[in-house]
Amino acid sequence: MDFTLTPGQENIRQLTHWLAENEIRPLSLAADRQHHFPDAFLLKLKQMGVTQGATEAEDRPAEVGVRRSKQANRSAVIGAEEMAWGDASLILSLPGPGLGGPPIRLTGTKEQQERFFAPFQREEELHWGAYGLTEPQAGSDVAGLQTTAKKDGHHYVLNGRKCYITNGARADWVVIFATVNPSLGRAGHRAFVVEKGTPGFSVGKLEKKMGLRASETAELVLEDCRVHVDNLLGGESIYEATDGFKTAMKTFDNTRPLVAAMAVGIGRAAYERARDFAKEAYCLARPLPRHALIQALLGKMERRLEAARLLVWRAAAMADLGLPNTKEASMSKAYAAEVAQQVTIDALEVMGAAGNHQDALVEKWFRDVKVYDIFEGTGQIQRIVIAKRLFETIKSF
Amino acid sequence: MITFEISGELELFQGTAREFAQTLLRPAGRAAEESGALPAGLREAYLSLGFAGLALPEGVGGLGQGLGAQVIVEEELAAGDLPLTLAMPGPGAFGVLLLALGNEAQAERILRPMLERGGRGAVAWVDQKPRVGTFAATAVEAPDGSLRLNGKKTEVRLGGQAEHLLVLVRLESKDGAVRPAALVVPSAADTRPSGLRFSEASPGLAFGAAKVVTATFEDVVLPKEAQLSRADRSLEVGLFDAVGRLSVISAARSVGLARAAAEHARAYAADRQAFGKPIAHFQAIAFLIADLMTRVEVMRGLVQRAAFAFDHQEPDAVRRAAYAIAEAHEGAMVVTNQAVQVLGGAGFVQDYPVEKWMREAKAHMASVMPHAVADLLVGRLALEGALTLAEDAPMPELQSIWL
Ligand SMILES: Cc1cc2nc3c(=O)[nH]c(=O)nc-3n(C[C@H](O)[C@H](O)[C@H](O)COP(=O)(O)OP(=O)(O)OC[C@H]3O[C@@H](n4cnc5c(N)ncnc54)[C@H](O)[C@@H]3O)c2cc1C
Repeated sequence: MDFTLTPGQENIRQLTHWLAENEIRPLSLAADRQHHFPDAFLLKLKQMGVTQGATEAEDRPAEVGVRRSKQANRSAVIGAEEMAWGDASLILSLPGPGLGGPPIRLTGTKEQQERFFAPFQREEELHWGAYGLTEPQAGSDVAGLQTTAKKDGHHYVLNGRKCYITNGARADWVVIFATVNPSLGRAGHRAFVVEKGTPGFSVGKLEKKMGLRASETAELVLEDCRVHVDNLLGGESIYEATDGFKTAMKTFDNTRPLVAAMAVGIGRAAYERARDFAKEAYCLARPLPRHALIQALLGKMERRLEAARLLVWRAAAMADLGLPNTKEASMSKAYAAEVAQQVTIDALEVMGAAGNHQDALVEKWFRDVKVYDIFEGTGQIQRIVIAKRLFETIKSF
Repeated sequence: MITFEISGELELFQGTAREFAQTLLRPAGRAAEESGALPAGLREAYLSLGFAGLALPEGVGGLGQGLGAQVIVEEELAAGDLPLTLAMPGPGAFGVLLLALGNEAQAERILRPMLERGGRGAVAWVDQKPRVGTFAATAVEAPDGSLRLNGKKTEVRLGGQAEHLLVLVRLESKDGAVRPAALVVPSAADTRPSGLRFSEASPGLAFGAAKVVTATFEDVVLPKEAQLSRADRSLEVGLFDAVGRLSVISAARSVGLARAAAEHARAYAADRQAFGKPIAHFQAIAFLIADLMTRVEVMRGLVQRAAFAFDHQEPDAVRRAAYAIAEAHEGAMVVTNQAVQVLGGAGFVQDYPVEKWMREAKAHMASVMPHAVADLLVGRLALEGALTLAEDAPMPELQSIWL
């Protein structure tokens, strides 16, 4: 048992925090209002070497086949917490393969990994990848997806709609999940890398959202979109052994702790703001009637954030050791999302009217954090995942 | 390096504690609650494992394993039976306080023989009529340095069976100053001063196997060596340290209690049928149990983190102890309550252990540091950066020390 950061992790934490505080926070409110971070800023961050997390350090072609660092997941969650403390939308906006990275890394062929990760190597340019699973009729119930893929010679013809896709409009490519035969259920699922500009592939509307406004969320339309078999992730043969659904789900064992770490980061930002507000605005020398209440509330916020962080670290440490961590990853995600929401609510409570002003950031964090209980599997879905591990006889609900 | 793995040596302690708890403590718990007596041989079996001195330094005859090891063992023991865990022999809370408040010579003189004999220590902390910030029980210092003690202490766990009592008092010293002090009073049947009496309290919510008594001191005269003192720190600083450690130990027991309840509910839900299927197959039950299991992990995480902080002399150890105890006590109440819920009517009757655990969770919440006090302490640290000795020192307002 040990809770000390390695010197490398301490470095990541301090550097990321410095960046979050000095470079990201000052732009946060404007980005929220304008619904994006300026490209010049994103490019500057890219050139500084800022990535979405260590999951991507391994996505570079040069590193294909190279063993991941033994600390990669732990380092990633430490960095992600600090980044989200700065601005959560920014992490999702950073150039890179995004959620599309893990499926390509986990199931793509060597050729596919080289081809699709190549654009991210270009120093002077901004490129994104995206992950297209959710559909208007299939969100939590991903197994019920309706986008079809029909084989036609050397191509698959894709038809369907995807919604709420992060960076979907600006991505170079999107990993699109579709079915070759809806009656096969999960066994019929395939993952395709659909490239921008492919005829029949277009962007529908861009969503206006409650929070995470500076992160792009797009609807994607596939109309007789012909995708070459070379873009079928992993090639035909892997689907004989495993199914596309597993590809879709594997992504989450690594990303859920990361997403949970971001929720902790947002919650911590709100907690610190409320604490500093209480320091200045309450007369501590005098026993104000509300004082003990606020004090205990802050104590509880701090305690539960630390508890969430420890769950995140544990799930990440298990991933680093190669231990099965599906249950622990879901526990960390479910708990961190719940705690972070309550902390932002409590922070607004502590600050009263002052927290509601548009320039207070706390109201933004309150808006931002809600989605952490929705995407990457809702709180309910996390509980299904946990329950399935606790009760072998449960197949689904 | 961040890791949640434990060493091979610690795994051995854990396995031994689990086996002892599940085969000897769990089956004996119900009967011991009724009779208030330990089953024959249990005391000896426990002493043979060496847990009584697990975290005590080697200098006083302990195993020097630290709090990190102790929380793992305490969780296992309490998952067997919490009151019997409290009833096990050894210096317990007495030892923790003695080490925190006394000097090395005092610790060695008292703890070594206690460990060798397999005796127990007890703590007399709570005044019958607590005064804010000070103790009502009073010791007056005579010109020759001897002390005359008067007062009444409640909630003294197993006080009648202890060979020594650690009593927190208000001291009127011969120079006229008044301050808190800690005294060690011999309390074995043959060494007990004549002015010390114990009387049994009426049975409470739980803990029949580890009863509390009231200790009355009437003109008890003690030599000046009875007073604990350390050259390097004040009593208040020592109390913070001790209460922090005791909180972590108490919290580890809450983790064990909650774990037992969550696991029992899980097994029951997989088995019990309603509407044609196991109740675990209803989301309302499955999600609840997923949350209970998560909560146990949350509690354990904070407890182990706090223990690590003490073992590594981290400056925020007391703050982490407060996280641990607040989460563990609050969590144990939630988890045991919901475990009863999962069992329905069966949860409410004594054929099953969960009702007992629910009562014990509530009774245990009053031990060491109530969770609301712990949150306040953290809030105070967050707002002011430090605790104020005079205002925050753990005085008799803290409900009780039940270790
Ligand atoms: C900002 C944002 C970004 C996103 N980015 C992406 C992305 O990049 N790629 C992508 O593919 N998707 C993305 N999503 C989609 C997201 O993953 C889904 O919204 C999410 O999985 C929930 O699906 P849904 O919205 O269809 O809700 P539904 O599935 O309709 O759920 C509605 C409610 O029912 C509950 N529910 C559903 N099934 C069950 C059940 N079996 N038992 C109990 N309760 C149940 C849910 O928990 C929820 O409370 C994004 C969403 C948002 C808001």
